[in-house]
Amino acid sequence: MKYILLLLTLFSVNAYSYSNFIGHGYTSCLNCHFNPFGGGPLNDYGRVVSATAISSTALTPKSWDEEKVAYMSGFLFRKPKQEWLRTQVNYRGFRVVRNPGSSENEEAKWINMQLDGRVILKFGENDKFISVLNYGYAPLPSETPKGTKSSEWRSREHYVGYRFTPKFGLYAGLMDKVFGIKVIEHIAFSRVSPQVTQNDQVHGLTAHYIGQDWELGAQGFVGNLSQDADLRMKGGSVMLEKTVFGIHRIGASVMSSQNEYLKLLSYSAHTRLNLKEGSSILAELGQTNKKTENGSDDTTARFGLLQTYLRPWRGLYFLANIEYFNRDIKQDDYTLRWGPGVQYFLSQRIELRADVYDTRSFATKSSTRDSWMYLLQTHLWF
Amino acid sequence: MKYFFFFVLILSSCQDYNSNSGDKGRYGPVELNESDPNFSKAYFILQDRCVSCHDHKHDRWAEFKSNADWVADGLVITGQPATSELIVRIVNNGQVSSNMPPSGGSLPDAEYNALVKWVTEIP
Repeated sequence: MKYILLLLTLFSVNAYSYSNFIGHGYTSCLNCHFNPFGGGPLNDYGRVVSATAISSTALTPKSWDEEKVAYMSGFLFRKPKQEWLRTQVNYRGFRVVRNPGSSENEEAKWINMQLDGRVILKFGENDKFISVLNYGYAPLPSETPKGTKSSEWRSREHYVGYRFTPKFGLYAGLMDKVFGIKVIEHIAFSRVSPQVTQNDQVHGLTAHYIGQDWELGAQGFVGNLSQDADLRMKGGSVMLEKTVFGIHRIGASVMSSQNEYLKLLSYSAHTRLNLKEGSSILAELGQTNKKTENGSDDTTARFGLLQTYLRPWRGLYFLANIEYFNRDIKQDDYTLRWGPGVQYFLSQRIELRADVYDTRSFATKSSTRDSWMYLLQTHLWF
Repeated sequence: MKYFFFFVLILSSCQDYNSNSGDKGRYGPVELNESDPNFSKAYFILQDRCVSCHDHKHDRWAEFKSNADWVADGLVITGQPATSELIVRIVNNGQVSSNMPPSGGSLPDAEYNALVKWVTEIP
């Protein structure tokens, strides 16, 4: 047991960042994350922001001022005594109910989506050298292909990074692909279609540059080296974001990748709008061109995402989500998924979230009935 | 130290699941035991839309590589799409509450029509 605890303490990660925090004025992920493109462990500043700006004060003793809240945001509820080591533990689980209310088709289950341990080593002025290891549990989906040799325990990230200047850094290792808006919904069409979901990290080299009002990422990758060589997606991506009107961001991404059976070319344009006081709008529109070795699915898919986050008061966000997907733009069929949600950061380390999704497919001659689903999510991090 | 080596062994003995784990089966070369051109079209539609569940979990549809396989399984009745369970159960028909696929919507009309054409014209 002590070894399990040791592993949990030493290794872990949160697979996602919150791109909507542009509503708090944070245009770049680098402010709060070690990974300049977001996701994974928070840096010290990110933890403080989470405690003092994002989370509610519902559970905070009235005698604590913001300085005390910030101090308590550390891993062991205090500011670490040394500068070179940070550890984090992250858990995310949810109850998903599909077809609620249907006597025949209702399906409900609890899914432990993520249990990660993270260790970060950082040295030098402004933490210019970092080493991140993020290892943990992720369930295999029910449609895992037969014969897949996979484990539910995996490395989410492991990389080293060096910032030559505050503006420019290089990162090498297993990281998320650099593409589009990272949203927490791992089933989002804008993440599934270009294959940038929570399991699609790749080994590669990533460059990041942040200018006065723009940000550039370029990545070359050789696939996930834990996979068989024929399955590894090799390629590269570029993403550019520019700050407009001082507080908003517009951006574009392009990514090309291929293995022995599949070749993908994805491109998208996106925007993140700061509505101030924590509220924001995220939007992305893109396409993925797919060519297959056996010719069975040579298509170009189109995807769209529109999310709004409205923050009535500290800790609480009301969401509205609309997604569009056309798996073959030569055909008129398309799918819409939409629904409201509510996200509540009860305190630093505790996020509660509820989402409702309705999916309906439209064909030229028919459309499906509404397919409803809701999720009740708990996210804990230490 | 032995625990460290055990941990390394676990890490090195498995590979990560991701969006590409099934690419070989989905997009790799396949040899069909059938010359019927309608079948090859239907085969890829069924592979893409149905086999993720109707193989390892319920059935062995990935191994059905000829018209005879489908007919023998009773899911397809030669020349009779209206009474073939495979076609009747597709959500595009809108007949039965437990139609397939269970989520994610109907098949595009072109794919649905290709399946109907295949069953109708099985030699």
